[in-house]
Amino acid sequence: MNMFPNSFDSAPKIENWFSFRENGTVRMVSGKVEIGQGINTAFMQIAAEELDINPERIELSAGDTRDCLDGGCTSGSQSMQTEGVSLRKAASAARMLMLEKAAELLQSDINNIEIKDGEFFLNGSSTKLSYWSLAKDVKLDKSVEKYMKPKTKEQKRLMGKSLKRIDLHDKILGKHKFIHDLEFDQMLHARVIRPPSASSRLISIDKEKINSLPNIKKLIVDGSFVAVVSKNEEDAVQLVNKVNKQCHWTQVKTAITDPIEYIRNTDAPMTLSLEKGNIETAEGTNISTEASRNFLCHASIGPCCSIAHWGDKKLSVYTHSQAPFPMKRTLSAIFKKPEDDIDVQHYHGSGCYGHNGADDVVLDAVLIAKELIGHHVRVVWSREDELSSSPLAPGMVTKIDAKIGSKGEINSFDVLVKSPPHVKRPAGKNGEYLLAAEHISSPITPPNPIDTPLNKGGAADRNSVPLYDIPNIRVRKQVVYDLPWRTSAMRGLGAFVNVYAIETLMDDIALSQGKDPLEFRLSNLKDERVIAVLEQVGEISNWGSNNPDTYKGIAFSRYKNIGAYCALVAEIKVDEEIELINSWAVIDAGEIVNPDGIKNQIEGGIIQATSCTLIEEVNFDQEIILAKDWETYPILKFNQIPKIYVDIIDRPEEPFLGVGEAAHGPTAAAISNALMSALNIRIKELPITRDRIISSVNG
Amino acid sequence: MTNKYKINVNGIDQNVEADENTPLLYILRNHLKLKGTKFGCGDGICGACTVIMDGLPIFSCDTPIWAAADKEIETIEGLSKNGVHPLQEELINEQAGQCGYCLSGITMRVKGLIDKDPSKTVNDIANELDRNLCRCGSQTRILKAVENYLGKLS
Ligand code: FES
Ligand code: FES
Repeated sequence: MNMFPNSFDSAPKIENWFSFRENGTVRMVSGKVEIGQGINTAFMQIAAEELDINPERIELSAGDTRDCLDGGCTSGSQSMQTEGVSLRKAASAARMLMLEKAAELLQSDINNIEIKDGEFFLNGSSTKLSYWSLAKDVKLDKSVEKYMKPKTKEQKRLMGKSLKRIDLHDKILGKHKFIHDLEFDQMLHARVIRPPSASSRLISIDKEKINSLPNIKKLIVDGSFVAVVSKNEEDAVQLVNKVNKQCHWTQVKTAITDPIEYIRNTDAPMTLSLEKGNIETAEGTNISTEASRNFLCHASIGPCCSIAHWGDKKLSVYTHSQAPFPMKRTLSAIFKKPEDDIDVQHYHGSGCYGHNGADDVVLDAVLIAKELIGHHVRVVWSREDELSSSPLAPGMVTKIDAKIGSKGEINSFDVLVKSPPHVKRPAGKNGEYLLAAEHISSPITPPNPIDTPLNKGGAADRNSVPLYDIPNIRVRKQVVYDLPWRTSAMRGLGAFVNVYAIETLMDDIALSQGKDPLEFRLSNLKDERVIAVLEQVGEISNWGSNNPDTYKGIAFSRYKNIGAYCALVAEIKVDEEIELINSWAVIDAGEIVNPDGIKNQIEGGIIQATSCTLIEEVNFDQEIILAKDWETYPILKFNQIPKIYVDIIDRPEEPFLGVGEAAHGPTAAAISNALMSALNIRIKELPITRDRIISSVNG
Repeated sequence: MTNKYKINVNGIDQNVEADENTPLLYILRNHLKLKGTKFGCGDGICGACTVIMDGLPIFSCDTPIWAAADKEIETIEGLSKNGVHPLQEELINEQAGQCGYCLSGITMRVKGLIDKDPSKTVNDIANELDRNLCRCGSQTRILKAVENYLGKLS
């Protein structure tokens, strides 16, 4: 059953979310999973607040299809906005129900009873009653919506406190059990041998030679899906190259030499995402930009991993997927196995920044386990797989033509976004978009996915609508389906390039009028919350004063135009290369649960975005992805990290807003704007490499 | 060729039987079930697998067991053997991590470097961490924790 917990349609009762135990603990069920973002801590803090208990009493279960809620996919910085709110309501309902029972037993009015760490106090004195003593007698089978009564602002005492992350202590001590660390009796280790490029396929394989290799337990060949199994992990790793030597693959040539150029020149159908006013009648001088970004890798430090066990009846799967429940439905569809016979359990993986290979490796493991009934089969991707077999973040081109009136007012923004698809999530579907599904002997052909429409957050066109006060805006997009590479969601989706385009163009317009970029932005804004973050970032960064040899740039966005607000100033130095020295960010994420959690996400976002802005890009040779290791796909290093200052504006009366992706676009644009102020050059193609700077200075 | 080796891990002598070229990483994780040391690349570039061998931080993914024989190895598990190590305390105070996958390797390198030369500055450490990667972007917090740790040592 597909449940959407935020609506309470399918998880209507308190018991769907919480249960009290006599031993003084509370079990809490969540549909969203931890992917390195600290969501579990925020959820526990919200529940502890409403229940008036010490957060340590909460035992959180998430992402286990045997007994958890189906929270769909944990993505898009939405967990706080959806499930965070639902949890708050459900916890408040649990509290009210228990209070009601306590009042009845104490023959008192609810208002005279206070709860302290789960114990009930009547007019200040202990009553011996508690959640734990009532656990047995109170059935939580009541409607959340009937009982819920979240605390008022004045009643809250835990919100806005920086509780420590519940999982980080053990992770720092090296004791946390990641998916990679699970062990089962007689577990076998498997590795997959991939075709060298997206559309190449197996011509022949010398099975006899392979089967005579030492330490091989099993060779699996299903169409172009080739895997090798061994008892020892080190032997499985060793076997990959040896098996690959016995495989002959078709070589695929492509006419595409420059993928970004190809995207730029696409003749894919153009669709209208948004129209406000009338772009055709807008007048003024034209200022334009055409921003682009190359393809990127997710590049998690720990490669994708999954363990599968195909038993007599049950299929059990262990995964770090963002979508355990949808994954279960997908496996049911692929293997024609009833959903009831499939269990999927989530374990923490290495950091997840979008739709990486976590789902793909599940299918790898299940395809192999099916041939080794009764064994746990563990698959870990190689570094090369992690970089080149995961879906890539698509390269993109965003063009904006602006018309500026005689008084310097912005009359129109005409935005055209060109991009391969950003959303090819397989989970919940029939197996399409899973890597191995395209390789097996009866392949599941991936249809062209629909690019999420703007009113649902957009995908390629995410954040393509400027929040500035502009009377005429048009946004169109062209989704490029005919490139060979698998592409899907990575942090921010189209927002990264769209914000880059809008915010660098805003600076170009300001400079063309001799205006200060911050002042110019403020004079084109009405939204108080945007103005507040911009003004504050100006203050904390000492905007307007520069140290000798350093230069500042500013940028802003509100993620998806409905999420967190982020204004950012970057300070750079330019020698041989750009060095980001300082970065100041001001965030408005509505009501703040855990300030340090938000800071942590923003700092991480700024560092990752800096890496994407200055260093990262995938190179191709024909169809072959050349990102294979950390030398062919380098990322930012410890000695390239800026100092970061994050300020948060707390708005306790406003809804929660997700922050995980808020800093990406503004970081890139602020760095570029700082470079503009340093060298008076505008680099439109990301990443801003040394070569691009040199050719721009010379050209 | 399969051989018998003796290594000392976190103060305990261990006998293992393995092919001579088996990376120390797999000996630790699979033979000795010490899962705190992580696989990241297998190429000696990401640092996830860093442990301390005879006082020096090394990549356990590209150190074959024959080269580790009769040596003293310290892993993340050894660090907190007698309670939380002061460096780890600082990491916890700073909440230095997001997914946490990179932390064991980074912690071991920092520990190894500072044990050897406590006069190192946080900039020295940042430079020497150039083969320890963190994709989540926890570097500022990690370096802050290192700075605090160095401050307490002096
Ligand atoms: S796993 Fe050893 S350096 Fe990456
Ligand atoms: S905390 Fe995730 S890789 Fe460092």
